[in-house]
Amino acid sequence: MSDYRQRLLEATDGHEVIPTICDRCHCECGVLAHVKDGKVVKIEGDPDHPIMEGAMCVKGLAATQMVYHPDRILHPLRRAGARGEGRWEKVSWDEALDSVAAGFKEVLAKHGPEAVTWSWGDSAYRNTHASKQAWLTAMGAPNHFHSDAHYCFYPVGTANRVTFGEFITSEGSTDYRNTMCSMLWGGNPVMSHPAMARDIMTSKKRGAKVIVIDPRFTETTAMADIWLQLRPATDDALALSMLHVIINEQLYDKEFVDRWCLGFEELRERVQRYSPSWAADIAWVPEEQIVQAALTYATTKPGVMHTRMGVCMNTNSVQTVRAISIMLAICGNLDVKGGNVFKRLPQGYKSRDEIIYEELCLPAELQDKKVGAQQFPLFSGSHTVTGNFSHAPSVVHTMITGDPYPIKALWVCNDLLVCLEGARETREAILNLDFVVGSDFFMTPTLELCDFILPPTSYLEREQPVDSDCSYNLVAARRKVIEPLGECRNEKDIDLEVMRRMGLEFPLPWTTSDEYNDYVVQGMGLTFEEFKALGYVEAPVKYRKYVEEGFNTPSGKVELYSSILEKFGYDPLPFYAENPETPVSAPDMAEEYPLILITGGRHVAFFHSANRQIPWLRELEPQPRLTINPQTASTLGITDGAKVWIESPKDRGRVQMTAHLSEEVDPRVVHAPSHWWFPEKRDPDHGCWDSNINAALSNDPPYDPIVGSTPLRGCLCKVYEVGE
Amino acid sequence: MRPTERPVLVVDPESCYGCLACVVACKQENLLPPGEAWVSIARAVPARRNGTLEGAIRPIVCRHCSKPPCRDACPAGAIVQDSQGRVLVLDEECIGCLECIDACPWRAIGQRSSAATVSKCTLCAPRVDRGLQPACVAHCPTGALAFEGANCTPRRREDSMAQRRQSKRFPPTAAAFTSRPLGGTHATSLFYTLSDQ
Repeated sequence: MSDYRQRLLEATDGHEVIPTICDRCHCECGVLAHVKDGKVVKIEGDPDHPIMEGAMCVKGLAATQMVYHPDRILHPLRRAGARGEGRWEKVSWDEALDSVAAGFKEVLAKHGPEAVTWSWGDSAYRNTHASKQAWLTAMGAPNHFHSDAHYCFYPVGTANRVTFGEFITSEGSTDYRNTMCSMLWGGNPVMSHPAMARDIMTSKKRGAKVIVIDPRFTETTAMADIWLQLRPATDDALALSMLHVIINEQLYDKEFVDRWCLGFEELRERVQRYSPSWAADIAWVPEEQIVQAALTYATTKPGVMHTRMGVCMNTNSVQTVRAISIMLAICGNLDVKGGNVFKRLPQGYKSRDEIIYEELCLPAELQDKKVGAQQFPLFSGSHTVTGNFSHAPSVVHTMITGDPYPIKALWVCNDLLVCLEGARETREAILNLDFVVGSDFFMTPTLELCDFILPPTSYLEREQPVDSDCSYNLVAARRKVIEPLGECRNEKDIDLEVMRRMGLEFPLPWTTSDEYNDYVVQGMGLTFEEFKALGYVEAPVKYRKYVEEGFNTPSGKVELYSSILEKFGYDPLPFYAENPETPVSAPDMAEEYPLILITGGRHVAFFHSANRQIPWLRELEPQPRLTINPQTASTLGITDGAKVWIESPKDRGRVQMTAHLSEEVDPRVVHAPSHWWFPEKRDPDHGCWDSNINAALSNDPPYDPIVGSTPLRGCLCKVYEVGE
Repeated sequence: MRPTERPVLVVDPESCYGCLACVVACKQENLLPPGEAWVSIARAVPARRNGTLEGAIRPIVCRHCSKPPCRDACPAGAIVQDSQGRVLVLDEECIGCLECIDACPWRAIGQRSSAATVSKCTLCAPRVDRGLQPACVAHCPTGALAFEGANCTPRRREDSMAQRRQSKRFPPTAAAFTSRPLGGTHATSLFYTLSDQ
């Protein structure tokens, strides 16, 4: 332990200081929680955390305002009026759990296990995923959906898995700390992973190059040596033309390619059609900039390649990420120090993925009943290469149509109306269900549509082992810092108790959250109490693990030419495809809706729909702002600070935001932040139709053919002042 | 002017990427209400210079100057420098004239959101006295804020004084992220030259 940390831990003013792990987003930074008289009075960063070293973001620092917020739900609630009327009554846990168990059992008996489903977002899953999967597995229920799996992480996951056998281009694998060149596609880690992003800034100080591909000027592009401001959703064209340069200029790692890559000749032939001059026209990026970026990445070693959501929210998402990640492989940056490193957790530690996707895996015939398994077999069902989700937009459609079978019960752990595109249809779908249970910290527009609400504990009120998503070798212990507020309960124990009361069998040998914690670390020869005493455990770092292990692909090599994609009837090589509604693919539509809309650029204060009610955070970004170029605004007669409508084609809807005039975006592009609702509005909608961009976006096809992603960054819109 | 041994807050504006952790860490440590911030982030709206789009992100925070212009400007003697060199406002002496706000070259003093008096950074005295870094420094991920034994007297920039913003309230932290001009702190990196040694 460092001397500095020792000083931090020394009790002052009667504070007890307890190290734990934040979970206000998926960075999972190390925290020192100050407790006085049983209350958390302060959160600060733990300088001994191996990755973050004391850095934290605003979300984590403001956690006390979330835990003690006067609006937090502290008791089980039962709906007292019509659905969505906003009338609730407190019930005892006993009554709530019995009613919830009975409600799910009734739907099971009437419609079968396909009819019961779970929806989860990015906050809840770290604690409740394993126990919810145990519940689903015990019922034989195939469906669960991560509201944004189809366009968030899983285009990357799928592309990485079919090419390399495991994840490699997402955070955690990106070794910014040791790199000399970072190429970052469609992401702004300063806002999304701020504590980790410091390694990019630090790398600059030792002379590393930073290349950012983003249609917006962001906090991250401000650090870039080379910034390619491309037309939204043309990342595939750009990446393919960079491959063209790297291959034709023979800048690739020949030895690695010869020994470890499958299908290089086919790739060489494929990229000949994608020259930089061709891409320059498609992507609005000058040819010499494309060449410069490709040359810089290929010749500055070692280099990091990082893909984020900007390259996933389009209808050619998997092939886009394939093109990008192939560049990393052929340039020799795979599993090397300062490049992209395969993740390995300490030996004996049972990862969440292992428990969920292997031990709790349903039989193949049940998996193949998932909504989406027929259409997206690599995303959903027994052939999946990643998370094995149901396809969220299709689940919403199924809830309404009953096709291919009825879905009638939902346990919802996220704010679906705000987090999933096609918000009005999502509302209709939820209202169409027989039984809905919700778990969340605050009353959201989605919870208002539930029959029962079961309140979970925050991370400060429970303990568990933590697989750190932002590291390639770290696990850690989250410690319980305070007793649960009100009647809040650990979500795992809620799930397991519902299972018990439904008369379900426990599929694995844990029946409480404490037993689960021991189960995860027992392979390390430890109890959870002993693991807690260690705090942080790192696996030894090893590079070029493939030399001994090979790659987890059918050929054991990096599959530039993907045999898995070929087997399932997809193009085994990456290609360029235009989004369905752009000025190029839909010029007629673009006459009335001339602006390209990108959505969902992050603000550090918020994690998706979370934190709008936290004073220290909301103050940082009080209102949703539509970023529009001053030149475009002037043509449209829009002044800075004016209220504007953002309207989508095909009567999908329109929402209001405040115009923010800035050259951050091209004159042909506007950016709308996502997930906006207004908890201060006390009616049951909580302002979810005012500025929620997902109420103006569609969940209809066309989708990415492999994972079903929707074109939420790179569709069309028009913008006009409110009152016109 | 000679460097002193006392630890000082050193700002490296080029290392700031605008994550705002300092803002919330400070508010938590000092229990500041909404509308009051002792550290904030100024962000210049990106503009084209020589064909390239550039933006500037800068922390705004008191430097605890060795010759504090705010103290000199205060007619009530409500701003003092303690033995550690910390520049502090004596709340009970403040008459709310707001002269100090205009005098501060860093624009790091503001009026309280709930009172007529001013308040400012105390350099986290209780933390520093225990050998800890101020909360903003402890949570700055990039080293844009550091706490070192070096002198950091600001260089006065008289020509920038005219650009001082109109409001005498604290810069609401959100205002740093709007497109409205931010006055004297707006993207003037010279303003952040650290030493006149």
